Amino acid sequence: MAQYGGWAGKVLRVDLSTGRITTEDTVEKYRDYVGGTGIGYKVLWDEVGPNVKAFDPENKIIFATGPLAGTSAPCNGRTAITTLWPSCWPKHLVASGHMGGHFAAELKYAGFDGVIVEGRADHPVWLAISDGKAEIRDGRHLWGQGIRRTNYEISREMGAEAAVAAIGQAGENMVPLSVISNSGSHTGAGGAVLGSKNLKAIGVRGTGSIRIAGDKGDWEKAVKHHLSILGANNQHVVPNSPQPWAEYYNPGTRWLAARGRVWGASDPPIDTGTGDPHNLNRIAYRTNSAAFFLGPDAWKNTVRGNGCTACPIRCHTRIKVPAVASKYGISEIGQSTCIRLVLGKRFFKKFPDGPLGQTSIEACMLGMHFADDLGIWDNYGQLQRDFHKCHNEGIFKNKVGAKEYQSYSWDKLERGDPAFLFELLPRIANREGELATALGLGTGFMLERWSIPEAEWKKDHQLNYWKHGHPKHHSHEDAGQCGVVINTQYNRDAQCHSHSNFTRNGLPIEVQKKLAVDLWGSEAAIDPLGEFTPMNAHKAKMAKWSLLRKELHDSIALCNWMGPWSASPLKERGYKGDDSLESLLYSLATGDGKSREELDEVAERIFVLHRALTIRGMGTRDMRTQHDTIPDWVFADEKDRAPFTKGTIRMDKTDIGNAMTMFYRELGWDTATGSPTRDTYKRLGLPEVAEELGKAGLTV
Amino acid sequence: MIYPLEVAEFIRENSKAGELVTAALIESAFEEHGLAAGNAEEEPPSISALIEEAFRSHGDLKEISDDSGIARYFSGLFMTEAYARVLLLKLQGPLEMIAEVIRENSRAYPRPVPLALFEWSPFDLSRERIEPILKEMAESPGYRDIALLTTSIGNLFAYSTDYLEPGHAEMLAEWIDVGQAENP
Repeated sequence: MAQYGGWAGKVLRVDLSTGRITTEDTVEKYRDYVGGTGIGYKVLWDEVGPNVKAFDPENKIIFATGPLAGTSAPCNGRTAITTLWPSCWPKHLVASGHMGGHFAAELKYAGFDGVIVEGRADHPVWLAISDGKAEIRDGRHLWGQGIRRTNYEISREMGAEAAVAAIGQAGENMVPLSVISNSGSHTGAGGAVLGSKNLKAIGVRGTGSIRIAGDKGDWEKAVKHHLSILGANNQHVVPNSPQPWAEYYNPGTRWLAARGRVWGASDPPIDTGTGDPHNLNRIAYRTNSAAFFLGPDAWKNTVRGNGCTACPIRCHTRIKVPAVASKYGISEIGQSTCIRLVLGKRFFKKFPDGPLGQTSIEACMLGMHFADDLGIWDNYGQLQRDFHKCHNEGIFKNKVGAKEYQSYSWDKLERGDPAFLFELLPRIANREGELATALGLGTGFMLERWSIPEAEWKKDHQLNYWKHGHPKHHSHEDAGQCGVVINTQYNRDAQCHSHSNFTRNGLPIEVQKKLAVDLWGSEAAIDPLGEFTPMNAHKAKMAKWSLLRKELHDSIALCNWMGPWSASPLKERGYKGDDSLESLLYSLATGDGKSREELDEVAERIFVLHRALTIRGMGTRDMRTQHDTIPDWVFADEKDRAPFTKGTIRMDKTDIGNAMTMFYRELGWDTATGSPTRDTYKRLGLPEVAEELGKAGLTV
Repeated sequence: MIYPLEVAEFIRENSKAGELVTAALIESAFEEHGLAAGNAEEEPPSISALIEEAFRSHGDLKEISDDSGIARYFSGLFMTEAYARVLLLKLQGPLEMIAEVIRENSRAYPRPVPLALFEWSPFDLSRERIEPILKEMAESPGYRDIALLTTSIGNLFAYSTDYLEPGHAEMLAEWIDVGQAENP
């Protein structure tokens, strides 16, 4: 281990059934899988059999960071949480949650690259990790508490610098739609698995550091280079209004900084300025998630940006809304990003002052207040879409007893009164009543409980439901066939941003196409939105690249909500990013020199191991028809426009069939079944996987 | 004494602030600060000669002009030509500015633009001002290609029918205004 940098060196293993705590050498055991999801998949493959269920003590949950976590590489605050997924329907299959914040860095500074949690404690406990030592402590006083109180109590014991990843009541009650949260608002799903193990929280405090193996000057240069090609959140590289330095602007991007746009709740107010990308000290002013998601009125509520270790993007915008303190008795301060920022408002169809008015902002504050304390996961917005569908179509009325149904103030919901959330969200977390319990199961198990065919959900475009109990996540609305292929591959919503970060980066299509030539071999890899063309081999390359970069980021601990850095805001670079950035940072940090191609092969090994776990879990090699399914709504258009006509994102069934075939071929998989071939497993250094699956008749 | 360097710096400072400058502005600024273009013993060089010299010595300086023929200057170090073009459009009045920005977006990307865009710098039109401009535009034959649409959350977008079909424009506006935030 001594010759490598980057890694902290040890992976902690905690058996809650026996109380035994051991460590393993990270490099010796997991170097070929790097970290993060790589370690998670490897542990599940080696140690958790195909018939184990999410809440069985035999299931394991792996918190793993990677070699870049805790360094000065930008966007490194990532922890992957890998386990059998309790909302994956009809069977719990492998999946991972992704948590930002400061947990990853603190774990590394404490000397660990990951924590494998196994077994089940006989009473509530929490795990204290501090500078190379770990201890299981009594957590009975924490059980029943929200995440904020748990953080507070553990921080009192461990010190204010500790990072605490905790579950709320939703996790304790094994609500499948529950999260683990650290650093206030940074969540990853999987809370119910922690609850099933009676593990309330993991507190981490580390005072160590991460050794950089390469030349320090080269490292500093690489970090500066990375900073220089950063955009705003989601690597949007074009400001959303004209700026003196900018050749382009795009009203759809998350680069909101502009002279006159002010963090109004700061004291004194701060003007975000023109945002010249050459000024690396002002990157944090580019993004304002609150103004992007809640509307321009949120500028006046903005206090500042907040975010993860070493990340200048600060996408968790902190807002101050005094009205919620007086009206609802909750904190006037909230912070979050993306889907969790709007969790509350999405339960409502309308608000009295419009979709972006003050009431909607208050609903968002209440949503954050409850979801981040009770630890509720909204399944990338599917929870709210299920809620609307069931309410609008009378499903709740039919499936829930009259007394329970009437106990909800539906009039508050109809008139857009955020107070409705006081009735709904705590009941979901506490499994109170049929309605809330069913919603908290996730879509698949809710439909099964209420004897509703999944096919009904797969028809409805408004639902965005895809398969296995989860919705789509950046599909063809972002990247045509590439997006569809990506959404077939996982056992939860796909969580892949490699493709959408490129297509949404804000550059004109002509510039994007030039970049596409370098990345995927042809301009034909991408289409303008709503002007899709038939599938081709370059789109298959883009899909493969997108998925491998996602797994790479989830393993080396870079944020796939920001990367890959395939474009930049710099005109002098022709807006090129750096597709070798990951290998540059990885090689310098660890000393394990790997080219872009070599590191992509590691990512492919990790991705294929995920595929093997899914095949073993499902007990079939016919992934093409049994797993990689596509909902009907992808092939429909509300105006019945034909595929490939302007203005529609409707896909063509035959073309998507070709897309799947080309994608499988690109990965060296059997095109008939979508199963990796024995040769592919062997090429990727997974002969034991091929052997085990072969014995079970699960290879081709 | 004004030197070419000072001219260049004056143009750069204005570019940083997002402004174009004319020869007249340079002249009046220097007069205001008591700087003569020359000294008492010799014939002072003209402002245009100084600007020419500044352009010869400083490669970042650029010139842009519209139909009026008045040259305007900016520094490529701090301002792009695209932004300078927007500033030129602004000088032509709000109708022409709005229409041309809409047309350019519809042609180059293609995409409709939210009218809220014109409330921000460098357009700087108030919401109240945009509405009558649109009415005027609707009644003027020169702007018949400019079409409006409303997204599902009630925001107005505009596009040019010369470059975008209505159905396509609707889909793109909905994506910009609602779809991207709904699919974060």
